[in-house]
Amino acid sequence: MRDVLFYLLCAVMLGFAVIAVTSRNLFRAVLAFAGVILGTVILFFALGAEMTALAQILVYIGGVMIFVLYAVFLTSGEEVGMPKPSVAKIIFALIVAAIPLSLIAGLALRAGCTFPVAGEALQSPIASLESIGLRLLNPGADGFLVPFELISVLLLAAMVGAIAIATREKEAETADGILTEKQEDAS
Amino acid sequence: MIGLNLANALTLSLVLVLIGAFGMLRRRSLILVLLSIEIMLNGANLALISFNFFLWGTSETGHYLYMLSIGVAAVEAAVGLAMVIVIFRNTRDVTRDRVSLLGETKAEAEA
Repeated sequence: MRDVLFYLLCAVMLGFAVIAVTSRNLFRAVLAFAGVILGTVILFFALGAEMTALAQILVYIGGVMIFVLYAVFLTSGEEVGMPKPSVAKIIFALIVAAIPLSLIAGLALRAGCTFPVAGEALQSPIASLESIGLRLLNPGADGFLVPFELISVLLLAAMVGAIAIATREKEAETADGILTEKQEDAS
Repeated sequence: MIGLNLANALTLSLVLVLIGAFGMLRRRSLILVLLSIEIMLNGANLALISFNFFLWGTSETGHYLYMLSIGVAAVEAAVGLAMVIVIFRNTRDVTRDRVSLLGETKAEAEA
C-alpha cells in the first residue's frame, strides 16, 4: 500500500512538474509548481522531516509562490504573442537536460548501486524541532550558529537589494522632483 | 528496490532537476525561467532530505543543508523577481529573447 502511494505521489509530482515547465498559461504553471511543492512536503513527512516540511510550506507556498504570482499579475498573465518554441529548440533542450542524466546514471551504475534497499535502510528517528533548534543556535563545535546567522544576513541583503532594484525609477523621479523644486526656489 | 528507498527518492529528485533544467532552457518568460530554477532547487532539497533519512541517521546534517538551500532559493526568488519587474517596467516585456539589455531601454539611453 505504502509503495503504491509512493509511486502515485511520484507520478503526480512529475506530472505537475511537466505542466509547470510546459504550460503556456503562466497562472496555471505557478499552480502546478505549488503542486510539486506539496508533493515534496508529503514526501518530507514520510521521510521523518516534520520541521523541514513545515519550512517548505512556509517558504515556498507562502513566500516564493505568492511572490511569483505577484510578478505574473504585475507583468502579463500569459506568454502573449509568443511564437510556439520550435521543434529544434525543444529537442536541443531535451538533449542538454539528458546529458547530466546519462552522466549521473553512469556514475551510479559504476558505483554498483550500493544504496540500502528498503529492508536494511537506516530508519532514523524523526528529527525533532527541539534538537534542530538547539543545534542551530549552538555556537559549539557541533552547532550551526554561523550558517544560521549568515542566512539571516543573506536574507537581509536580498531584501534591501530587492527594494533597491525595484524602486530605482522612483528614486530618480523624486531626485528630479527635488531638483526642480530647488531650481524653482533659485529662480 | 520497490517503494520509498534511497535509490527511488534520488531518482525522483534527479528527474525533478532535469525537468527544471529542461524548463529553464525552453521557457521564454523570465518568470518561468526562475520558476524552473526553483523546481531544480526543490529536487536538490529532496535529495538532501532523503540522504539524511537513509544514510546519515541521527546527525540531521541534511536538515541544515536544506535550510541553507531554502535560504538561497528565497533570496533568488526575491532578487530575481525584482529584476524581472524592473525589466518589465522598462521594456514592457519579460520575454527572454526580446529582452537583450539590462537597465535602461534604448529610448531612455538616447534621451
